[in-house]
Amino acid sequence: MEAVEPQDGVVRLTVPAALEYVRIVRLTGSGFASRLGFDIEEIENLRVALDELASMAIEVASGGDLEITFFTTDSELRITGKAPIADGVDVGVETLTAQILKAVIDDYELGASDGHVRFSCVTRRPLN
Amino acid sequence: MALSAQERAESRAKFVEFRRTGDRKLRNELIEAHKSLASHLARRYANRGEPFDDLLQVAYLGMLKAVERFDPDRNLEFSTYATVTVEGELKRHFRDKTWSVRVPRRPQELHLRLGNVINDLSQRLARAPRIPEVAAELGVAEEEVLEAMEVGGAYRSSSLDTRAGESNEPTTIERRLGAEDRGFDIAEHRVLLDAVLGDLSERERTIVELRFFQDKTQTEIAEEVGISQMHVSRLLARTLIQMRERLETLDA
Repeated sequence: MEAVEPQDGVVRLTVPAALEYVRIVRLTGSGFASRLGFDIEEIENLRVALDELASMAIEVASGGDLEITFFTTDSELRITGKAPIADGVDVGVETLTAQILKAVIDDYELGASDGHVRFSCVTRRPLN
Repeated sequence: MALSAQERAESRAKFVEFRRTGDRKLRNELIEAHKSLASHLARRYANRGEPFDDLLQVAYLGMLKAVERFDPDRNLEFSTYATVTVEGELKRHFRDKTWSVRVPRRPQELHLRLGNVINDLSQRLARAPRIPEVAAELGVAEEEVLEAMEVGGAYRSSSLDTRAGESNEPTTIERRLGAEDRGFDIAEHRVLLDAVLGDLSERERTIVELRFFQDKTQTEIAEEVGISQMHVSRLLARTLIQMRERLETLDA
C-alpha cells in the first residue's frame, strides 16, 4: 500500500473483528466525513464502501481486532484498516463487490501482508 | 399583533371583567381580538400533513382555553400565556393525530422523516444537503441524523456473510475468486451477475444497473425512476442483500 502522509486530525478506531461491529465503523466514517463537509450522498457512498471493505476484512480475519484509521490529505479522505489473518487465506474481491466499490469510491485496495488483511478506501475531493 | 399601551390596558380591563363575571360575550370578544395570534401559531404547524383548517380549529380551541384560564392578576402578558397554551394544544393535536411533529427520540422514527427532508432540501438547495443542514431542518443533533441514516440499512446482512463453521476453507464466492480478481474480467463474471440480475424485479434491476453500471448518483436515479432518493437507497440496500444471497446459492 502506498505511503500517504496523514495531516492533523487522525481518527483511530479499534473494534473486535466481528461483523456486528461494522455498524460502528460505518458510523465513525460518516461522522468523520460529515465533519469534512461531505454531503449526504457522498456520506452514503462512503458508508457503502466501508461496509463492503470492513466486512470483507472481517470475514477473512482470524479474530482479534480490526484497526481503522481515518485521515485526510490535501486532496483525499483515506481510510485504512487492518486485522490479523491466518497464513494462506485468500483475500479477494468478488465481481459484485468490485462493481459496487467502483461506483462509490475513487480507489480501494484489499490484500494481505505481514500477517494482516489490509484495506484502504479513498475518496478524492479538495478538502482544505 | 403588537398592541398599543391603550389597547393593552383595555384588553386587561376586559380580562379582569371577564374573570369577575364569566360573561360569554366578553369572552368571545377576547378570543376574537386574539384570533390573528391563533392563526399565526397555526401557520407554524402547517405543511406537516394536517389540513390547515383543522389546525386553525385547534388553535382557536387553544385560544379559548387561554382566555378562560388567563389570570390578569399574575404579572404575565396574555400573548405569552396564549402562545404557550395554543402551541400546547397544537402539539397535542399532532401527538394524537400523527407522530410527525413529536420530536423523535429513536433513530427509526427520525429515519422515516429523513427522506422527505432530504428531498425538500435537495430541491431547495439544488444539491445534496449536508448533515448540519439536515439536522437543522429536523431540529436534531447531527449525530442523530447519522444514526438515522444507519437505520437505512446495512448493505450486507451479517447473518448471510458470517463464516460457516471454523473451517479455514473459503466459502463465499469472493474468496474463491481469489486475489487476482483485482483486475477481473467483467465479461466472464457478467454471466453470473446476469443470472442474479435476472432474479430482480424490473425496477430493482434498473436501479442496480443505473447505480453500479452507469455510475449514476442516487439522486439522479431517483429522478429517473420517479421515487425518492431515500427510497432508492433502501431499495439498493435490500437488493444488494438479495443478490448476495443468490450468488451464494449459485456458487454452492
